Amino acid sequence: MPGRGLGMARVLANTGVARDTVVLTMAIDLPTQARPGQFAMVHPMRTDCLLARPFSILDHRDGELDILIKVAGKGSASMAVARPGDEMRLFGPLGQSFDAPRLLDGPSIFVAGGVGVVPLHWLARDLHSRGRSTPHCIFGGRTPADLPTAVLTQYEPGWELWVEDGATESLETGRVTHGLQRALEATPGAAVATCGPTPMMKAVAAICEEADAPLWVCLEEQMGCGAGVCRACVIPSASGDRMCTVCKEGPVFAVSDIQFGAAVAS
Amino acid sequence: MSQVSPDLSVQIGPVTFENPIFTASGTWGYGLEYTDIAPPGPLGGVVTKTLTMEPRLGNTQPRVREQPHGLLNSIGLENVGINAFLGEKLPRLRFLNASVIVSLAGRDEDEFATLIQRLAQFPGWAGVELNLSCPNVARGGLDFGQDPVRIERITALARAALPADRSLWVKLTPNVSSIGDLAKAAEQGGAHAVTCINTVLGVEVNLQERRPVFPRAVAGYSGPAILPIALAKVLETARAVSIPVVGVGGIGSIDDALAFFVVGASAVQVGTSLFPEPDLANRMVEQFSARLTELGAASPRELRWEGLAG
Repeated sequence: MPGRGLGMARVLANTGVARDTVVLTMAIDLPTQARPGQFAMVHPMRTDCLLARPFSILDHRDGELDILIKVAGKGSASMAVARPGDEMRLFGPLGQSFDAPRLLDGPSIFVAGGVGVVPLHWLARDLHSRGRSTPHCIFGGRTPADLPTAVLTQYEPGWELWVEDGATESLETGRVTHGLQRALEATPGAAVATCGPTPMMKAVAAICEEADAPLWVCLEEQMGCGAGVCRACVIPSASGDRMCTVCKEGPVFAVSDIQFGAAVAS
Repeated sequence: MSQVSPDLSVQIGPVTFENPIFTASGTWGYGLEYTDIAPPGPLGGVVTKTLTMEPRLGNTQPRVREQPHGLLNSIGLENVGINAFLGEKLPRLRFLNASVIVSLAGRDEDEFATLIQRLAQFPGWAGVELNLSCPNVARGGLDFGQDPVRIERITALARAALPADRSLWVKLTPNVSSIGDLAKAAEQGGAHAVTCINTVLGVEVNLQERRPVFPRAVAGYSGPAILPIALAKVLETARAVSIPVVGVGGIGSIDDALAFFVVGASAVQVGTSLFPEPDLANRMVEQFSARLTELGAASPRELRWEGLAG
């Protein structure tokens, strides 16, 4: 909880990075430095959007925050066409970051799908630039047009890219899970982190369980408040005796701490 | 010319609150989640998330769905249980000088009083709000809340268990043909105030799959869309009873809050709009005096519509 800020963020730049996908650079002074995995609640500032929306933070520099927006509904659609000078209410940074030494010290494999690339990309860049470890990064999109190449190239060692359709010679055809299996065979004992669509993360979880690889997931869930208050984004703890909030206790969880994807009885 | 600042205090039963701005149950946690950006102390009070005898895990996903001007929720009274609240939350609220109204839900008529007896052993709370109207649980909730006879009985049992210096509020459902009858029953049972309104029943449909989106089908609708409904129900209630009415439903600004005083409310609760703006109630407390002065009123009571009695 300490170090959150609530205030108006001013758009400095809007950069298209893939189909229906932009990076918004916003000016806001936050009380603490955000870390990879953390997110901000941003309100689209239109009257037919009641709630703020959670966006994983792509980068945080002094007084500037980058978030990646893929158009999914009316809120993200209006944010994706924001212009420099526009203002939006922002609450953050929120949630827990990736902090397990086993993952950060490597060897590690990061598996991202879609906008799930955001926290893992920032974490990989951060670890590599500080010389702590060099994660093997695997990204999957549906087609080449879905790859945020301008973002992905910022990670020097590069991302292994998979598309389901329309592969070219620099892209592999198939699912990221193929890449993960290959990487796990090449690097036994690697820790794995994943963020992306739930079916993809569940497939990753199944492979990691089979390979006995420790796994951290960064979850996406519908959120009302971002602060553990509205209880909308809960997931049962591993023992099932309590609910964990994705917004406050997550979004990063060791998969062993939660019932990943489990349904809940009332 | 010197100006006397408006009198914002409000008395509800034996308790005088510094101002009439409260947070609504279920929308601001236990009053401890935003202390860094919006401390509970300056508010008229915090109405806690509804507490039950045992902890509850709540309903399955999805639990909330945004609508164009409101929110559907089916949380299912997830809460830490009365004992964890008393042990972990209430002492911290006391330390923060918060004025606390504890929202309670019992499984049967007697359990409301049992919860109050448990609470009565601890200091640091100003009153209770009986949640007789949660639409999202299998038993209780609306079952109690739509029947005036049961409302009167539960209220009377609760009043008998309540220490004499604490305030008793009863929260009513709008999902009945006469909310005035429910309010009269609560007044008859000894309530110091009635809170109007709990959520309006609502359904969202998944057309592709030809079914309601929520597993329980019907959910509770709140947010800006229900403001006119809440104002109408408060008006009806204020005409039906002589005890204070606490207005809640769709408040998103200080003027929304003041509208409730015009139709007869003595205090208000800010709810769903706290999710996107957790400091909204605090800002409204700061704006309250200046806005009243602009309107030429020396107290919120002066806003009351003259035609209300008719």
